[in-house]
This record gives sequence, structure tokens and C-alpha cells, in this order.
Amino acid sequence: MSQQDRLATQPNEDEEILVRLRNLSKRYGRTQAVQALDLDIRKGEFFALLGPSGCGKTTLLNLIGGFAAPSTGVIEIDGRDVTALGPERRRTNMVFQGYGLFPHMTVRQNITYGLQIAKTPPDETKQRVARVTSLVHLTDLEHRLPAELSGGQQQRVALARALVMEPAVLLLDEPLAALDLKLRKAVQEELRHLHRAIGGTFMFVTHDQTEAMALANRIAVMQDGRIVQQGTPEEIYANPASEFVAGFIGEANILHGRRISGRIELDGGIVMADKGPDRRVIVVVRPDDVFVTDETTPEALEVALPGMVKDRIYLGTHDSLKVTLDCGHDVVAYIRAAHGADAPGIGDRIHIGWHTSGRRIVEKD
Amino acid sequence: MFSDRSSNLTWHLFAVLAMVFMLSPLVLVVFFSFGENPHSTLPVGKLTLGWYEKLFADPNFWRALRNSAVVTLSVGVLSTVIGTLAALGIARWRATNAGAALTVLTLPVMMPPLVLSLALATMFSTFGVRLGLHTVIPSHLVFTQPFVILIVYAQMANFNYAIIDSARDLGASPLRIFFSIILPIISPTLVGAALIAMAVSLDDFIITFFTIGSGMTLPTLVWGMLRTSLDPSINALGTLILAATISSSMLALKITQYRG
Ligand SMILES: Nc1ncnc2c1ncn2[C@@H]1O[C@H](COP(=O)(O)OP(=O)(O)OP(=O)(O)O)[C@@H](O)[C@H]1O
Ligand SMILES: [Mg+2]
Repeated sequence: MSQQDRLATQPNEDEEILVRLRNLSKRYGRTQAVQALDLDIRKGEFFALLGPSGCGKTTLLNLIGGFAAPSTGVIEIDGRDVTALGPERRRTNMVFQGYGLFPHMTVRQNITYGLQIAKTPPDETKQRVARVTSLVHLTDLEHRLPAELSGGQQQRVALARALVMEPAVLLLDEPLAALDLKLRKAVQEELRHLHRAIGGTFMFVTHDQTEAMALANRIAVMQDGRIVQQGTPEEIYANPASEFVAGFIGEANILHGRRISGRIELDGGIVMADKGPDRRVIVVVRPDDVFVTDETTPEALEVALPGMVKDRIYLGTHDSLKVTLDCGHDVVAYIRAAHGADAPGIGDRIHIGWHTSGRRIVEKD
Repeated sequence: MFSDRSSNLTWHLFAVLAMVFMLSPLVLVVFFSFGENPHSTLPVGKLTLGWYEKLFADPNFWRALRNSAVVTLSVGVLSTVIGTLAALGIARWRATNAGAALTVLTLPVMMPPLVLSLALATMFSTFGVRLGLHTVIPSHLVFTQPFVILIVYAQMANFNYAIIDSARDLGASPLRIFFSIILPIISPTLVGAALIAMAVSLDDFIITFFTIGSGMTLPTLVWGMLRTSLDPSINALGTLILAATISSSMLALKITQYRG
């Protein structure tokens, strides 16, 4: 009894590693698309691979799906080494960027194609197709051809066709890239819902950081074929590991300087206390951590810097102020729109500052 | 507005004139084949089907028709199968290599037919091959296959390979992918390519003439008749060939352009 209790409280369900990549790399001629990469994806995760165009996201997804053979390294799925297996023998299914629907088959034929190959009995096929089509709201469209569907509907067929196979990992390559903004929001919602309803493991590729933040419970940021940081969206947003990550995830003010004997000195004479070895650093301050302050009450803030408002953009929930500091830096600050009349306008001289907790020091290599 | 319309009108006029100029010889061929005048001159006289009756009574016509049918059908099937396989292979190559291969393969079409015919005839005599339909068919393949390869390659170059990857992802074997995905998608193109190959083969004269030996096909029959009897039964034969060529080309165009 006590042993059962102990087992039940062990977090092994959440911690179980489903996809394990070790020293994985892929070279195309002289291009190193993926470089000596290690990555673990746990069961049940909604995992985002985020990075700029050409950083190797699709290549990495193709390696996991079996569409490309790695130059070095090992891929394990569910504890099994699948490095040498083709896509038809992996428990992964992919939703391609262009969907890759079979144009000469109806929605239903598209969805049942894989089940037929797997020789699934007819009544089970029926059940699984019915479940998946109702999950993605395609029930009324089963007899249409792909050409007779909207972009969003085609996207859902691709999703249904992969989901019906009940893959261990569902791979999605920029699943929402072809959709307009409104539809994208709706499908994001649907994907989140699907992930909860099915409880599967999803791994998707995107170059859109807001999409990654909105959907994923873990994000890996890629740069030049490497993963430069991974963690929850909150961790990565609050604690960017490098200038690249800071600039890529969310908007950020990035100020260059150096640390000399326990003090950060930014160009233009801004000084902050910070322990650590002497070296070049950047200071990252998110626009919502920048405050407009009164010259007379700067105690609560770490710094109070004089400057002039260069631009002000109304953004609905907040205003975006662009301030040029007297020391030469440009800083963006978000202030609540509710400030209304007494908010600073273009040309006003103001002081801005931030709390110690609102800035992040990142060492440069 | 006005100048727009008038310049439109000028263009229409040009188009119509060009069409009349190009089509009038063909129209005359058809016209004379239905007239009583035995010299194929104006006026054509009363309408008659007599020249067709005369043509159908000629055993040479039936021999030529049978030979043409054998050659055309064989060339259609063979050039489609071989050309498609070649195109599928080339479509997997890098674009630069594929471009070079296509240029080499389409050389026979660029070459003057007379030179090609000479080359083929020389080759057959060098190797001591007796001439006949069995030499005409491979000779036709030399210049019909490029059409098939170009048409199928164009389709495969535009093929959405995510479709094939999806099928693999869902567990399909290469053979299954070919028969359940690739073939159904490209089959209208294949039928179109076959029809074009057949149309080209059906009305070829020069290459057939050099490689057939003593036999005859419809075009070589026309040539023979031109030298012996100059009555409108030639026009009747010409009309029949014209109808066959045009209808297969039209069908080919319709099929290849038709995309749901
Ligand atoms: N088949 C290939 N042959 C040669 N180079 C390739 C091939 N596929 C990808 N590459 C190269 O590898 C690098 C990574 O490509 P990849 O498609 O993985 O980028 P990505 O992160 O998915 O970019 P995007 O966001 O634009 O889709 C690029 O420099 C690309 O040019
Ligand atoms: Mg990509």
C-alpha cells in the first residue's frame, strides 16, 4: 500500500522523456543546418521550436519525422532508437507547411489513407474518423475535395489526417503560417484545445515568438542550427540567455556596456551596481519595466535618466513612448493608456528609470 | 474609350486575316474532297462523296491505314511509358543537371527531320537491319519521346512533394505511393502526352519514308498518290488525316488543361 502511494506520487508520468536527441547534426553540402544538438521532449508537452528563417527548424523536424537522415547523432522515440528508420516506421506524424493533402481524394479518403495502410478494421476506422473529424469540426465536409476547402479547413484536414494515426509525437511545421491573423488566433485556440483533449505530445515549428508563447508550455530557441536556450515561455521571457534571445522574444531595450569591479557602466555614463567578473555585458529592460518618473522621487528606481519624448504611439491597452536619453540611447517605454491627459507628449522632457528587478544583465561572449 | 475600342478592332482584324491566310489551304483540301471536279480546281461542281468511295475501294488505303494504326498506337504507348519513367527520374535530379538532360533529350526535335532521317537510315543499314514497321516505330520514338518527357517533367517539377512525404508519413510504400498518389494525379497529363505523341507520329512523313522500306503509312500513301493519280481522292485522304490529327491534338489540349 505504502509502496503504491510512493509510486503514485512520483512525477514519472510528466517527466518521461519521449523524444531524445543526442549529438544530432545535419549537413547539406557546406551548410550545417543542425549542429551537434541535444534535446529532450517529455510526454504530453506542447513544445515549440522557435527561431529565425533558415536556422534549421524544418530540418530538425524532418530529422525527427524521418524525412532526412542525420549526418551524426541518435534519435530515440519512446526509448527506441529510430535513427535508421524511415517515416513510415516511426510513431510520428507530420502536418506539413503546405499541408500536402492528396488533391484527388475527398476529405474522408485523405483521413482514412493511413488507417487503410495499417489495415485498421472498418468499424474502428469509422470510430476514429468520427472522433477526429468532430474534434477538428470537419464532420460536414467529409465528401469535399481539398480544392473545395478554405485554407483553414485544409489545415484542419491535414491535422485530422495526422491525428487519426494517434502518433506518439505530432510534428507541425509552421502550422499557422498560411492563415490570416484572425483565423490564426482561432486555430491557435483550437490547437490548445486539441492538445488538452487528446493529451498527446505536440512539437511545432514557428518563427513567430507570440505564437510560440501563446501555444507552447516549453520553447527551444534556435540560432544557426543550435538550441541557444530552452525553458518555459515565462523563463525565456524573463531570463534571456543572450542578446539574440532577448531581441527575438518580445520587445526589449538592449543597452551595451561593461562591468568593471562590481559596477555596470553603460555608454554615456549610466552606472548600476552588479557583482561579477569584469567583462562586456548587455542590459535588457522590457518596455513594460521602464517607468516615467519624477525627477524628485527616484529612490524606488535603480536609475533615473533624463531624456526627451521623440514619439508616442497609441496601442489601445497602452501607449508606446520612444525616449531619446541625454546620454544618447533610445529607450522604448510602455505606459498605461489610462494615464490620459497628464501622460507625457512628444517633445516633453522627462525622466525614465527601472527597478533592479526589472532589468537583466547578460554577459557577452 | 474610343481609341481603345478601335485598336481592339484592328487587333481582331489582324487575327482573323492571319487565321484565313493560314487555314485557307486546309479549307481548300477539305472543300475539293467533297466536289465532283476531278482536277481539284474551282468551280468544284456538285457535292459528292464519290472520292471517299474511291479511296475506300483502294486496297492500298487499307494497308496504309493498318500500318499507320500499328505505328501510331505503338508509338503512343511506348513513348508514354518510356518518356514518363525518364521524366520521373530526371525530376529527382538537381535543376542544373535536369536542364542539361532535357536539352540533350530534346535535340532530336530541334534537328532538321531530314538529317535525323538520314542518320536513322544510315544506322539501320550499317547494322544490316531490314526496314519495315519495326524500324519505323523506334525511329518515331526518337522524336515523340521528348514531347512526353517535357510535358511530364513540367508536371513533376511543379509537383508538391509534401504530398509524397505525407503519404510516406502515413505508412505508404514507394509502390503504393506511385499507384495511389502519383499516377492518379498525373494521369490526365499522361493521356495528353500520349495523344500529342500519337498526333506527331500519325502525320510524320520524312522519317517514315526513310525508315519503312517498301511498306506504306497514310502520309507515304499521300505522297505516292500525288505522283500517280492527281484526283481528289488524295484530298479525301488528306481530310481524314487532318481530322484525326486535329481531334487527337484538341483532346490532348483539353485533357492536359483540364484541372477541376
Ligand atoms: N535540401 C536542402 N539542401 C540544401 N540545403 C538545405 C536543404 N534544406 C535546408 N537547407 C539549408 O539548411 C538551412 C536550414 O534550413 P531549414 O529549412 O531547416 O530552415 P528553417 O529554420 O525551417 O527556415 P524557415 O523558417 O525559413 O522555414 C538553410 O540554410 C537551408 O538553406
Ligand atoms: Mg522551415
